[in-house]
Amino acid sequence: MSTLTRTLGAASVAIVVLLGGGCAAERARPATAPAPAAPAADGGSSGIESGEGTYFVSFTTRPDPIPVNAEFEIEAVVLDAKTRTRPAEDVDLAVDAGMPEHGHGMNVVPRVERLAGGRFRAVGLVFHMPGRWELAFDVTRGAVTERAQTLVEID
Amino acid sequence: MAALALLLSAAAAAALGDGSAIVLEFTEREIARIRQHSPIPPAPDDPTNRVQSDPAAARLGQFLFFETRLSSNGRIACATCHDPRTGWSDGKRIAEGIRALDRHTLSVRNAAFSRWLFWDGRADSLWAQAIQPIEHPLEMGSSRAATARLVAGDLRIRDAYSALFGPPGDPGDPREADRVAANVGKAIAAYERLLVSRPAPFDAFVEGLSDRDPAKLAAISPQARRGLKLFVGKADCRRCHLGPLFTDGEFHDTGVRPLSGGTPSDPARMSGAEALLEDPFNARGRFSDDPGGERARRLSFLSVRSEDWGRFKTPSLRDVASSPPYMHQGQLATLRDVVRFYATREGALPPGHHGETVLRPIPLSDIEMDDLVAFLESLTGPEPEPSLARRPSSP
Repeated sequence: MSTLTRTLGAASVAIVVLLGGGCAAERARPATAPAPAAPAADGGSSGIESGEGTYFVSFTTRPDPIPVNAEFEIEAVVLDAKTRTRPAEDVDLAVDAGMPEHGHGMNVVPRVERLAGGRFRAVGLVFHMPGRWELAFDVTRGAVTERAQTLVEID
Repeated sequence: MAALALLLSAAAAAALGDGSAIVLEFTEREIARIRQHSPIPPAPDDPTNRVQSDPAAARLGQFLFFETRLSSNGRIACATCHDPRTGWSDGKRIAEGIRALDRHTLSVRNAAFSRWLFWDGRADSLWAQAIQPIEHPLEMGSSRAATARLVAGDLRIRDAYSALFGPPGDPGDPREADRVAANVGKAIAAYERLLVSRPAPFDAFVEGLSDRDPAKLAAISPQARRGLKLFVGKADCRRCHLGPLFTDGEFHDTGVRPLSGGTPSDPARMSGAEALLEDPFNARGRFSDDPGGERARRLSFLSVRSEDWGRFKTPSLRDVASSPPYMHQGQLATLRDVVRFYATREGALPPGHHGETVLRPIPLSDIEMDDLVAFLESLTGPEPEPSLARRPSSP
């Protein structure tokens, strides 16, 4: 998780409800006041710009809000930041998270699956503790990785 | 006038008698957090064990749980260390089977809720857990082959086993011995699934927060209520002791020093994860009744990590007062000692280079520590049915 502390990226974040589904009593919400939500390709979601401004990652969680100590998944699309409509080409995505105040990450290693249309699905995530989590999307093209990152508070 | 004053006073008392005053001791956020801890749900389904809910399997499992012939010396049963009279643990600091081990005996009560079993999480189901002590050289010191011989050789056990799993084969065949061991584990698991906490005074109190029934709100003392407020607030115990079972089911380094002194040498979760992934009885193994299911899938997200070195599973706090001592080597004798350890961090080891920093000193007064202990004691419910706490007359 040490890399998670590098930057907070352009955390214009919003965790958007998209995929429906129920959730436990415990609810998650963005820890920081969401910056102006940037429209994404599907027009209904919001996302985060990567640190160097190359990509715009739009994502949803299922369930939404993120439950505490239960598996959830993320569906994301990596867009070209200039257009915010066209999926970025030739990119890979990795997803990780940790609690910066506690110096630990998740106890699981999520798996990212590539879907059609430039979309990705990360499965197997578990935020096992209430509190503030940093959620990071590492977008890699060739040998260059940029991170889009946000904070999520779970109670 | 005096009579009128008395009447008004009585009216005021009656007004408070609806429980509002007690409810108002807590903020909305505190109440929302408190509700996350109650009621106790049913134990989660385990499709890897097809007899998990079969009463005949539970009866056989109960018989075997109290069966000393499963040990190499004929003197140790599961119930020897998981004694119903001592909170389904043994009351000792360090477990003693055939010989002394190096960890405290975890209670089997509520084990059915565990995502990972043992202090190091080296099993992922109740039935896979139940197999290991039987063949552990320091615990029961037996073997799968000896277990298979017992099942094949005792007519009553054989009949009960055959009705559930088909007749046992040649105990000398290692594959058959594995199969019998798995099925013995599944029968014991069917029994252990019944060993769950029953509603405690705390649960009545939580109901009272909703319906404001004064009797329910009085189920826990004012001192315990203060402790509860600390638990979900200033003391932040819920960081790891989550949900109705008061555990995240995960692994942490509490910094408690080993009984032997010196630096810790137990790799705990790091080796537990490795053992689990290699365990032939895990959820994706050939003895699982659901090798492609959710539990098997969960294993695919697990990894062996150096930062897990020395991390032990968070125990449930349900009925915690009934099973001292505490911590993974029973280092702390009383709940008061545990609360004091977490509050002051006195004597705690510094975090290692991968160490998480969840635990920091909490400024609690002696009175507040006592309040927390009172709350923890309010998590004690009635014991499971007496019929579950003894060996049945037949399997």
